[in-house]
Amino acid sequence: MKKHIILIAAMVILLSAVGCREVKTEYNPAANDGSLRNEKESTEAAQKTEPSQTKSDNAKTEPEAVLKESKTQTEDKVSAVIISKSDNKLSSEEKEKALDDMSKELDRIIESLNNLDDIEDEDLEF
Amino acid sequence: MKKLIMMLLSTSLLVTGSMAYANDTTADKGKEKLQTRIENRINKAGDRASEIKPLTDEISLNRNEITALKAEAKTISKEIKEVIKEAKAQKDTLTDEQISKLAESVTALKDEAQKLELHTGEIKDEVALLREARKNKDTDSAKISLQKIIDVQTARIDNISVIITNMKKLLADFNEII
Repeated sequence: MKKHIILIAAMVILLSAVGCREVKTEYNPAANDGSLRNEKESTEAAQKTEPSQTKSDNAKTEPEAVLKESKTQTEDKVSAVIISKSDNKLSSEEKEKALDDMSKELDRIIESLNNLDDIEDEDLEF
Repeated sequence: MKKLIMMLLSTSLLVTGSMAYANDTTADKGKEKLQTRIENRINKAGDRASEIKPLTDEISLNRNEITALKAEAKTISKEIKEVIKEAKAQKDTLTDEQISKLAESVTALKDEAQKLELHTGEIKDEVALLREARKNKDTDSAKISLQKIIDVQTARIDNISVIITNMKKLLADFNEII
């Protein structure tokens, strides 16, 4: 009989402890704010990345779609952020070429400035 | 006989005297004419100069401004090229979006430079006309040519100023990224 009472008492304590922990996590304001903020941030990040995602209708975005289907909503937002950061289609060589072209274009502009015709001092004497 | 000689002498004296007087008066008249002609020329030249001087002064000022703007554009261009070198060293950290933003700024620069190129040679053409007008002492044509030169210079000042603004923006974009 004593054994039964001790067992029941232990179960009651265990269950109430578990229950208290769940209640704490549900109503902890700090934790709640944090999670809300995280959710907001991830929503914003997802919104920001949406246009770039719609722009890039190519093979690179396909794995992204697969990922979205396989994960929960929150996980989807996180994955969207990660994908947007690594959404670089240009190779190192292409980037270098683009920068070289910019440099060449600047040279051309300066050349145009140097080629501008002018009037000499002697032509201004009357 | 003596009387005849005396008469001849007095007549010759009279004739030479009047001739000398006549010569003096014609010389004076000629000098006066020359003087008035010179004065007229000076006055005309003065009028022409007073009409033309404000235009040539403006051209000189514009020319100095263009020279200063060109020097500024060259300095900024050198700075940008230095930053491009740095960007090339760390190209892998640049995103596609950043590259395309920079490329857009360069395209805007290119467009403005093309506007500048469209008017290259216009001053040279006007200078040829100006020389011709000066040769013919045609003040009106000279004034027209000078005004056209001022118009071209003003357009150039605007174009180069826009180029400098765009260059500064491009430099700021690069500095933001690197």
